[in-house]
Amino acid sequence: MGQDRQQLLLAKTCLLASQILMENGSELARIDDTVKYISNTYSAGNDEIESYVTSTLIIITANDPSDEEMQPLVLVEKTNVKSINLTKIDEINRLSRAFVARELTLKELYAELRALRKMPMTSLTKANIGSFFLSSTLTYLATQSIVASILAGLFGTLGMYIVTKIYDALHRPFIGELIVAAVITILVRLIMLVTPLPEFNNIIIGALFPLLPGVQLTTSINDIFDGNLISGPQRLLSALILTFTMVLGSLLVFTIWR
Amino acid sequence: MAILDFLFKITLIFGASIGFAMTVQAPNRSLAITGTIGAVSYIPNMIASGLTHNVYYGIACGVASVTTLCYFAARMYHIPASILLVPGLVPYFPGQKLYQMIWSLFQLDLSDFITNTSGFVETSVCIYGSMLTMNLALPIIMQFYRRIKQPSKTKSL
Repeated sequence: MGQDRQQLLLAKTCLLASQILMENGSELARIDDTVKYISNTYSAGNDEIESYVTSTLIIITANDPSDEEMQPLVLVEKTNVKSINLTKIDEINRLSRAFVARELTLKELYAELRALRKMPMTSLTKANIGSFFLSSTLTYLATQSIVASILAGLFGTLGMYIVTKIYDALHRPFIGELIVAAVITILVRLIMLVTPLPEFNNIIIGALFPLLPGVQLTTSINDIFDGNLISGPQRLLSALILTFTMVLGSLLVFTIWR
Repeated sequence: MAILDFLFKITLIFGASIGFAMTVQAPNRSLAITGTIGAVSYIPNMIASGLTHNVYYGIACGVASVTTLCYFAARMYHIPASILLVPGLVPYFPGQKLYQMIWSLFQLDLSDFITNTSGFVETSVCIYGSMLTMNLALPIIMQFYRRIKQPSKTKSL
């Protein structure tokens, strides 16, 4: 019985680590490796822990090959990518390293993971400042215009703020990006009533750059080349739909304005 | 003036990489490393695209250098490589081309759509092909290097 409880704790720890990694945009290879490190460290290969992860589902199976009468343990959890948070991914990496180095027991690791999952660990200020730098620098590289780059930076910051607030309120993907693209296009159009902006397209694209799905594209390609032909195309489709909604938002404004 | 322009571009890429890292909530200890990788890897991009007059060679070289630098920095600083890699790729992401591709589709502008789609596909192939090549090649190169190093160590003993 004691061994069953330990096996359950091991499986739950692996499940929780997988869940946190998946929710924060990690690639599947990292999730598989983390589960392997945790299970190999704890059971030294005596328990077979396998994970099957997609963008919406995590399945962890635990089996003791030396015990023929024992039923394999299967844990299933629904999941989805909530946001990209590389700090949480780094924190999981740190905790799993500490566990492998025997600085944490399995129980302590599980408690740390539970606390980590509850912690938001997101800073809207950091994201806003980052959006300003990203939008302004890339727009300047494209246009060589200080005015365009400052406008793109300001709109990028506003866009990141609005998207975060809309997602916090609605918990639905894509709607925030649609609204932000429309809002930014309206603001650019209003400024164009007062002063000409020849690089208005570059300003809009620059302002939307922080929201463009670069991370999702990269992780989807990594997943596809790792052989994950369910979650890789899922993420790729999600990235395409995200871009589609942003273009739709801008296009709606252009069409109505005309 | 050319050197100043070059340094200014590198500084902008440094800022863009750090900016992107901040938007995806990268840990603070990785920000300077990410910025440095992004800036340093832009140099082979500029050299390659200048020599070949082809932007795609530049992208392939830039991404290869980002992947290589991230591989070593991840081991040096105990930071997951993907945390350093993703912001370092910011100057090369085909997000803009994807946006323009879908825009021209909505506008029913077929020639623009084909041009933008081919640009997006070519950029993606350069980026992800280069990344995949380096991810496969680097462990083999390091294994080979360790094998060469080991006999020379035993010889010196």
